[in-house]
Amino acid sequence: MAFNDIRTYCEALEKTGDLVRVKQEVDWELEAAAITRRSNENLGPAVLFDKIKDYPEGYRLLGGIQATYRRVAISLGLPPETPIPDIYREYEAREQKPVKPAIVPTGPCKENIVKGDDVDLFQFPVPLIHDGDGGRYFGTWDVIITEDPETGWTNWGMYRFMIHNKRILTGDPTFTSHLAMVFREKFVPQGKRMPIAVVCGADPLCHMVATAGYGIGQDEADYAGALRQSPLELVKCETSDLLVPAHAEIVIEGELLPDAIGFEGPFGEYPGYRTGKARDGVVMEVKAITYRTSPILTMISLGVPVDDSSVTAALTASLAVKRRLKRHNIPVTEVYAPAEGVTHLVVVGVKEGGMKVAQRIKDIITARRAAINKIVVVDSDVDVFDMKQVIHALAVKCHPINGIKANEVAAGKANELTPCYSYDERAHKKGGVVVFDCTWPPEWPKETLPIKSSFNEIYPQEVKDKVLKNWKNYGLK
Amino acid sequence: MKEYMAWLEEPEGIKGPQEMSLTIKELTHGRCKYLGHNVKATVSPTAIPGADTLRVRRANGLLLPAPWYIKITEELGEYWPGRPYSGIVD
Repeated sequence: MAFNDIRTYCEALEKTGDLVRVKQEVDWELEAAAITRRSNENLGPAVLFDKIKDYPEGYRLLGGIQATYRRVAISLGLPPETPIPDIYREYEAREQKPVKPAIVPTGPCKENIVKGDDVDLFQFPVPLIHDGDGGRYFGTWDVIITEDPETGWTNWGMYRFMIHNKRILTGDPTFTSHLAMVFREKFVPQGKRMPIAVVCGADPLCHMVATAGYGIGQDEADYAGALRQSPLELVKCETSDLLVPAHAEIVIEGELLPDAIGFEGPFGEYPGYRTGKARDGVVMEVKAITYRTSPILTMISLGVPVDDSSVTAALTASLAVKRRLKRHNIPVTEVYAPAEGVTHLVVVGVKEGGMKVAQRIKDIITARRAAINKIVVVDSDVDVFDMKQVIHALAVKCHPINGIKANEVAAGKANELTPCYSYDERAHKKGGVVVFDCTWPPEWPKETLPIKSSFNEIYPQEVKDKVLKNWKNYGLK
Repeated sequence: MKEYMAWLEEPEGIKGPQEMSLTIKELTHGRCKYLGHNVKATVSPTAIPGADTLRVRRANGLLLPAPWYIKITEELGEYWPGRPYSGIVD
């Protein structure tokens, strides 16, 4: 069953013990984020803050929305204890059937409409998330919606946006993002303003698809419908033709300016470190804010894994990598980006390996950008979801010289947030990528392959059958 | 006396009063804390008569232990003129 909005999702989380409602007043300045961060680090519940310092009753903050796979399962309508591989498979199966959205005349996000000079971003309890951040971030767990003016393609992404003053946000959509690509090519040179919407507190699956790497021309709203297994209701913005989720809590409508820059950052980002610094960000002039009565502002208290970002982005990145490898005829079985790897590390299972295949995988994954910079390729007998098996393969099947290939990536392609890169590398988006080939070289004769000494593989079937049949009789559980 | 915060690239390069254009955030408590202003101001790690307090962070967010001083001479526009993404390799 799909959730129409974040409120019904919160009710479901509360029933399963996956959300705690805090009635005591908390400070929007660091305290709410610190509580959420600690809960994330303890694999604790999502936290809904009912009473925020300096703000009237009814203005609420929500963190830890998808910070565990339990919550991801619940958002998909699955039992909370659904194993991670099953969540992946269900997500992947649903993605195959995009569902077009339904355009509706109005929706809950239009319960309150503020326009023009009445706009005041400080009306909402926007959190200061980390000590030292460059300001209060309105957009963290958000959906940023823009449109390609030539093709009409609507793109959804998740990018951070910070308050400058009551009607200006500054943001940091990454240089290699689809949003930045369209803005740089089709608005900035022409001196045109780009309509944009910052959506907070939609159905959690909307935010999830916003983290996904669907290709150019693919509408994320169709994939939100796919995951929901029902059309997502969209409603037109007040000041542009952009369509936004009708049940969202808060929608900020505005324009990105083609001839302006603004102070943005620093911010403690998803790799778990504050690697970036204050810089020139894009400027969004806010034209209108529409919001539900008693709005819930959603946030990610980003940091060391796991949290909303590392869980959801890992899932969507894994499936995007799998799709891309299949398109390139790589004999891929499964792809898993452990949340702890914060989309820097991915494990790829293949039917037939070898360094040539491993290198192709590396080149395909990093063709456009090298956000993922460590790739582990394993044979199909290794369960990519089981880190015990992956570490074992890395330890014993990856040749320390022949099994590792590393190369630099062109300036502009690397992830400037990767903590291991030097100050200079980060400034120029320079870096590298490495592949660990943990597969048997295909040129090795089959009869010379080392024989795996696992219960399933080294014992005759009759012995295994006997052991399994008598397991409890041996006094074992 | 008001209190502001700024994030500076190389604060150790500023030894005395220096005029500059920068973005500052108000630290006045309440709903509008961290309201941004783009200003022209004299900024200094040493005292300036009649100045407001400036808490300085490095560009990566690290706070300098001692407060600085700021005297705003002009309030500038809401944003800086410039081409988005122009400072990034492409």
